[in-house]
Amino acid sequence: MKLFDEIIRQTKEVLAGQTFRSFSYEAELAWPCGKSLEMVLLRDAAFELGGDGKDSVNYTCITDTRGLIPKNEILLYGPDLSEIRGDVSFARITHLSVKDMDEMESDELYRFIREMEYVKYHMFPEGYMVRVSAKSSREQARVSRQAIRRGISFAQIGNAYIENYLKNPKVKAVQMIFVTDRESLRKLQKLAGQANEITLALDHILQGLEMNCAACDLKAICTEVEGMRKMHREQMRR
Amino acid sequence: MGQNTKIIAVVGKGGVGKTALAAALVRSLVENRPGSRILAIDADPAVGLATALQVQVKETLDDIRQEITKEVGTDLKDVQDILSEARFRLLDMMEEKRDFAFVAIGRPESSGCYCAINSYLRDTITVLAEQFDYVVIDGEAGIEQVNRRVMEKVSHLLLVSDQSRKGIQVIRTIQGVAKDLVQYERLGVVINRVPVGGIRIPEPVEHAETIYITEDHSQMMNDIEGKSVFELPEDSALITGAEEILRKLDV
Repeated sequence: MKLFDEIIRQTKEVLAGQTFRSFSYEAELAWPCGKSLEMVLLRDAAFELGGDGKDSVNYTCITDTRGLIPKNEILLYGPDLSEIRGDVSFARITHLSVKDMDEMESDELYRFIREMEYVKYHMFPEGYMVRVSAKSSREQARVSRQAIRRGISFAQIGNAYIENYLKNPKVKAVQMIFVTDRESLRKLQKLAGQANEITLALDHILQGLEMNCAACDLKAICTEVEGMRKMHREQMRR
Repeated sequence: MGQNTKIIAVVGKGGVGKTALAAALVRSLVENRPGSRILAIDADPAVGLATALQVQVKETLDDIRQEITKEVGTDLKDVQDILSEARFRLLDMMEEKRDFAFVAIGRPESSGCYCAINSYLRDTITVLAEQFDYVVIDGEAGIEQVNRRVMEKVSHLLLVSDQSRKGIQVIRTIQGVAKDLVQYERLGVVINRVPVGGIRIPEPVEHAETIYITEDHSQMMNDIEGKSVFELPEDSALITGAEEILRKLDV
């Protein structure tokens, strides 16, 4: 099913031509995480990613298209955590390659997508306080001075995220993209909005809130996204 | 509550100097426990603690609750989104000074049943408190917040009164209600604004560490001039009283 494929392609296009660093997934290098929120107060923070006055964006895309997300990897566009000297704009984008997407019933698929989105709510890396706004698709991270002294890097944070996603047996590969370079952020924000609309439209379809497509606010996204129409038709037949 | 977090709830009748004492407790903790993580919570809708600590209140917890309530079902799809959004906004709302952080609860404006807001306040206070070493809560005047179980779990309950019969009666009533509704480890009593050389009511509340703070001219002047508690002289009765009750309660 190709619900998010176009967004994945557009994300790649937005980032194409920019210098990046890539790191392979190595579970043993994952940055240690706690079980609940560890607050990093401003006085203890080295800087904030995507904080006040800076652009910030986060979204998750899922695909089962062969070769689109071929392996576990971390891509970094812009300076790494040890190179950042003050608050910067920030994007974290997750691309997931999953199996058997076509075999999932609509509601099962919706639950799976949401489950993958929930991963971000349960990540508590030490000295890296993440906070996520579902409303605005923002993700901010306050990084402590102590974590910087300990040598925290995006590769380690990415490994921690990938480790969590891979706990779900349906996930085959994860591409974790970090962007600390402001140029691309605006375009990525638009894509975050589209990804959110897809999930909203799925929710809408499954709840059967609106079966009159002509009157539905989400008709545009439903028409545009391949896979969504098929799912809608199936749901209407029930 | 975090395993080692000390939460001090200051309660009593209105107009007995509760807020000034809560501010003095914050100052005492800041000065005597450097490096500690200290949170001041203004749970009084009048938001007097903010003034005493010279903190600008941008938004209150209740403002956030109301905004999030409006967004449920549209941008916020389910409980996970709602909780995450609440945490996101809460950290924006929290005012962080160099030595302490500050949160104002605000006033629930909706009429009718308060169960939802009370539950929300309780959970939020608990989650936030876990992140700090010391939490000082300036409670709403009277017994309502205790009655509504907003302060269900604190480590130190501090009852504040002047020498008036009414004030003493209020703290005795609060103690009676708190026995059943609040899980606290230590109970303290502060009798405030005692006239110099005046009679001191012995043991106004049974089985509680009690201290007496004499009338404090410097604090009165501070109030009139709208200065913060940090501008009071070190030897003012309020500041030494705050230090004494913290010592007596082993905070």
